[in-house]
Amino acid sequence: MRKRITFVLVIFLLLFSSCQNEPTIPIIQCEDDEILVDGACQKVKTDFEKTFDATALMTNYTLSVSIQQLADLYEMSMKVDEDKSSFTMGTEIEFYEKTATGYNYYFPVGDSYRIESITENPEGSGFHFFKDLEASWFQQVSGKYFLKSEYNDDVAVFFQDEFPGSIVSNLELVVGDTYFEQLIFQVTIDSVMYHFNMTLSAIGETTVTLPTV
Amino acid sequence: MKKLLSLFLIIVLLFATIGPALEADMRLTITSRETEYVENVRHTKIVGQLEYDGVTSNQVINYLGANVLSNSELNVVVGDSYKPHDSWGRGTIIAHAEDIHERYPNYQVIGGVNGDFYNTSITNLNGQPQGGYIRNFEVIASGVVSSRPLAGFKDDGTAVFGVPCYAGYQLLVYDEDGALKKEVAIERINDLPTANDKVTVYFDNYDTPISSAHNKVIVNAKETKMDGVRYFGSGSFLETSDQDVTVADHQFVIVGTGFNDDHLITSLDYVVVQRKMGCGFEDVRFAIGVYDEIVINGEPVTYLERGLDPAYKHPRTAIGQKADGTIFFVVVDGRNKPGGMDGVNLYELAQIMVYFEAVRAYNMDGGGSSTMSLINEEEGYDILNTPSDGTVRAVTNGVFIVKGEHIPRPAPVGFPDTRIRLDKPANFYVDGNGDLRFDPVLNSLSYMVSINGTLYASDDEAYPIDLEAGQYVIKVRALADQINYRHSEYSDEFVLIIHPDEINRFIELLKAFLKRETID
Repeated sequence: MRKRITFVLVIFLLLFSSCQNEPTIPIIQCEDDEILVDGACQKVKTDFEKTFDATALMTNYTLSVSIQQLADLYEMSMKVDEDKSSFTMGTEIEFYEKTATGYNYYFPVGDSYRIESITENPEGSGFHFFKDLEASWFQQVSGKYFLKSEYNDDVAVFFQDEFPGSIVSNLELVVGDTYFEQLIFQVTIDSVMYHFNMTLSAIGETTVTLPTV
Repeated sequence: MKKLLSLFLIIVLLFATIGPALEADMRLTITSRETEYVENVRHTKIVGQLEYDGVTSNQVINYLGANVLSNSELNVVVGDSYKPHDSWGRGTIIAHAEDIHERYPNYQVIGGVNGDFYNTSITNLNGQPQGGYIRNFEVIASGVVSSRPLAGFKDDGTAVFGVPCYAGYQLLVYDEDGALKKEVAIERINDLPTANDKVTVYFDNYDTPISSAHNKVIVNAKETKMDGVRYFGSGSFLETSDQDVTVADHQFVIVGTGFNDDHLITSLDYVVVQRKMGCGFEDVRFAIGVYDEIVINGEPVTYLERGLDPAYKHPRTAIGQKADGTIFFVVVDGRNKPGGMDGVNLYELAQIMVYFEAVRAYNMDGGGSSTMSLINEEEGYDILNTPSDGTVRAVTNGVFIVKGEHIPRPAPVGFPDTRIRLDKPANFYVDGNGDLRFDPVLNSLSYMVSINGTLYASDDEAYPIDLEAGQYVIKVRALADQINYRHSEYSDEFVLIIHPDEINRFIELLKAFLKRETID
């Protein structure tokens, strides 16, 4: 009798265990301009949009800036090499170097340089200029990218600390395969228009050598 | 426009038939009298009738004067429009005033009159004054007529009048600070020294080579004046030679046995060859030729043996001194009877000078030369009188009352100079506050900052830069006590570019961006 009961239990258990259902896998349907990444749909970025990401992550580049007001032209060059940078205008070059508490400022004195350690954070509007631009702010017109007029004020924030009420207009962005190449725009201050031309170059190839102090 | 510190106008119209009896010999019936003060310089214009020696004439008289003895801010300065070389030249008294401003930024001409008589007959001497002429201690002219008196003006506000003495020539060697290093007697002009201890000077009117083995110091002349008899030259060291030398244009050559072997004259020095003044005129900073003494000890002259038409009525100019030290000028218009400007003879002019309380007075060039100017609110100059030419005549020189203190003449330092020269300032930069900074110089008392040639004093090693946009060449020298230490040489040039304010602010924004890029 005991054997029969045991046999029935074994059979029952076998039958019960063999009747579990297979788990069901959900099917995710992404849109045409999306791809599935780790189980979630993500929008496929255009090459144009990718340049914004790449530009924002740049830590080594040269930015040449010209400012023109009527016949007067002012040219300067800014080099960024990771935690070192330089600002050149005419024959004068200044250097900056990141430190644990702020930065070192190297400035020319006679034929040599002096260094000043600065602990405070650099002043700024919060808007980190071309690195904070967004692709959605631009529209393509005749093959060129222009800032939509409703975003002019967002870019103008960069200038507001020094020039309250300044107006940014006609910002054209030229992009390369990977990064921004050029920004052209005007800033108007009290009816005086300044033409800006910023050109990015030597990305990943810029070297800043700090002077010996 | 510098403010006119005080300006008031008093107009008194007196229609009385008889004016105040002012002198026994003269009666001045005043129709109108106007007085104004500009920077404490008084101008009075009198229109009226002058009765003298039984003759009544219509007169317009202008007076300009100030007490330069009690007011250290006012001084008497002479001015001219002379060319630096080859000739003299003439100019209006307004041009002379501009010449003063150009030569001496520390003076502002308030007003003045025409000065000495001058040569008009010889082309290359056109404008040469007849009397002496001393400009900032330099004896530019030593008098075609050496007996002509001078009116000289010293730094303490005193005036010297009289006939000067011209005692040969002297070579004065000044260091770059204007301190006298040495005075050397010049034996003669355009000839070789007669002994080893003698020194001579050749000017560029000597057109044959100087053939001798003497040392020769060639000087690039800043200014030369010569008429074949009288010479003046100033300039800076060019080179030395013991070879034959021909004096080039606008140079002069100092010649002597072994001269300058001791490096008395260096490239930093300034040298002057001039007549040595005496008879009270040794220390006058400015002097101008005058002519007849028309008031002596407060008494007007009534007879002159010489003078230009002393008994005839002409437009006249005179300079006088009051007992309290006031220097004043008078211009009387003439040659314009319809305009009520009959002019005066020298005796009437003397009476007028006494009327204005002169204790001494001298006649100066008159006629169409008689002109008086006064600064106006636009910092230009009004001609106060009516020049008889109908226009302002170009004259040889003028004498002016100026606002502004003299720059003190440094004490002589002697030669050789044993003082220690301070180091030149170095390591220039402009800090975040816009101050020009440089390294301090040991033993300096202060600094002199030269910005595009204009000098500014700085008490320490930080000089605030407040300049408009542009490019500036900056040099700095350290100033010493000049007793144990001497001023440094000027520093190497520091070129500073000042951008427009908006551009500077753009640059600051971009730098802030760059700093964030460095730190983030």
